[in-house]
Amino acid sequence: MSKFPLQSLLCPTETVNQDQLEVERRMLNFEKTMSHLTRRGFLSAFAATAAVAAMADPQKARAQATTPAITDVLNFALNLEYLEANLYLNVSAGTTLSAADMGSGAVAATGLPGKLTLDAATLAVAQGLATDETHHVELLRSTIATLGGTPISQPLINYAANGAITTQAMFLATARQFTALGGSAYVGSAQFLVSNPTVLTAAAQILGAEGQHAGVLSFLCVNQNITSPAIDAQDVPPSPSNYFTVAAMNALSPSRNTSQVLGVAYGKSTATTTAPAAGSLMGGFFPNGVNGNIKST
Amino acid sequence: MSHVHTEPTLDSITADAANLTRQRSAALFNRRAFATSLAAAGTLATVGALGCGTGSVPVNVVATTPSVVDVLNFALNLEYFEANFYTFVTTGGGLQSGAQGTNPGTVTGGAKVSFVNGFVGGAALQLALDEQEHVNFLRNTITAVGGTPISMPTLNLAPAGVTAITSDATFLAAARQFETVGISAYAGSAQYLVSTLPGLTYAAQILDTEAQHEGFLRELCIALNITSSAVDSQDIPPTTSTVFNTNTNGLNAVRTPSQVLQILYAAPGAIGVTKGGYFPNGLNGNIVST
Repeated sequence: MSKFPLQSLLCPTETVNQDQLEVERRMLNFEKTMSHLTRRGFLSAFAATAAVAAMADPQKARAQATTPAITDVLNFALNLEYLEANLYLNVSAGTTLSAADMGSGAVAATGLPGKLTLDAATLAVAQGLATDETHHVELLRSTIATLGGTPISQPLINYAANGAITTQAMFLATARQFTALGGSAYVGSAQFLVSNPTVLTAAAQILGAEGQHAGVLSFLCVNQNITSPAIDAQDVPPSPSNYFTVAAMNALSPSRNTSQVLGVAYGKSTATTTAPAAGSLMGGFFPNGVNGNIKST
Repeated sequence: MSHVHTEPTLDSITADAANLTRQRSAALFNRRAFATSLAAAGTLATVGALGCGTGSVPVNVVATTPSVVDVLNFALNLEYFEANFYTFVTTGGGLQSGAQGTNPGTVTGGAKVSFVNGFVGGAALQLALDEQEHVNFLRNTITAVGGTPISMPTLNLAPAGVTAITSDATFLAAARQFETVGISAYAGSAQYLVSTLPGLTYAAQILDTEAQHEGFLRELCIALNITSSAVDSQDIPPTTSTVFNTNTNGLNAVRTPSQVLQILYAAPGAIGVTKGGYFPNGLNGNIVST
């Protein structure tokens, strides 16, 4: 059962059942696809057929070869939520995600820090992060299932990829990096969720949460004089003169495509990397790679 | 439809699909008696008029999808407001005139604050820079997509009934509230930017930045034991047990333009209001009403 209130897309004050919502979604999806393609003026018979087919089967809504399916995008994000959720649960309480939340094919993580001795402010933050990320895992899993997809199980994660996390400072530095990565991934993938306004809006809401996480972690890092190294060339680590991870021009936070995200996650990107080399399938925090259909730099 | 196979043409597909859409639309719309045109944009259509069934709270449903330019200009109003707010508390002056547009309103009620805490003063400065950048960026983006950016509306930074900003604490409390409104406005308008993928991405980047702002301010409020009251029923003030402003799904709030303006116009629960509070003459642009 979806955790979303099934709000009608056409009459927002009304709730609908899943069948009704699906009809609405396909109608809006179809109209958007047709107007998009028609406006482009290059509509081919194949693309139009695919658009009509999308009306019949939303899983076939892949008119352009390079546009990932929504469930693929959400599963990609789910990998990053697994990465974060376990770390926060572990340092704050010594636990990990439940078996149900990790999925039936889940692999146990390695390099978990265990419950760390944290000061009161940091502990409160770690607990809040753990709560939010656990909710994100659960929400993504249920959303993917509602859309007819299969949520990936948790892949192998090695939390000691950059050295064992043994102190509050190391935890905060890592958490700051994970959050920067996750937020930018949602920014970069928003464009692939446009065919489903409900999912797009939820993704924007998750992004708002991740941004809050980043701001809180920035304060803690700066306040405790902790260095959190740049994950790639777009990253702006927190410092007394830069509380916020934004580009100096336009004050926009980074956007990363899946290759850039995986370049960081797989340990291929350095502080000067703008775009990692293509073709990496594993490494860093994901020794066997992420799960799902989007797994390569 | 014909049973003889012929290659589908754009016209045939469009016609078939249009019929399919109309059939499904008719079934759906008959059930709801969906009005194809509501009252003038910005005014409330009650749920009864929509035939959408009884909702618990009237929601200002936009009849037609707001345009990308409308949405970006709506956001620009908020950025003008925040930029002026932060620039005033740090410098005693407002947004530089070159960034106000060709027909700007006036700004009253702003005043410099002598910050005591280094983080608070530092945050105010960096927030001012970020929001000034956002004003310029949105103006340029609106122009780039062929629209006209609104000029700065008239602003009152010290409206009646609102605590004056004179200290670290009053500044932090207010700034935290303003950022939370901004994030939720961007989240609520993302679905109206789907026809411009770059624009959608930019909006997501600004959303993330505003969320970073709120997070930082929340942790600062908690560290300094400062209360920042809830702006409405969705808002969760920062405390040690509520570090993050997220719901039971871990989600940031979403607000419609109406809900945003009920806060900014100081008109909670009122519908059809077009000015007040921080915006004595209302917002500029096409999305102006609670």
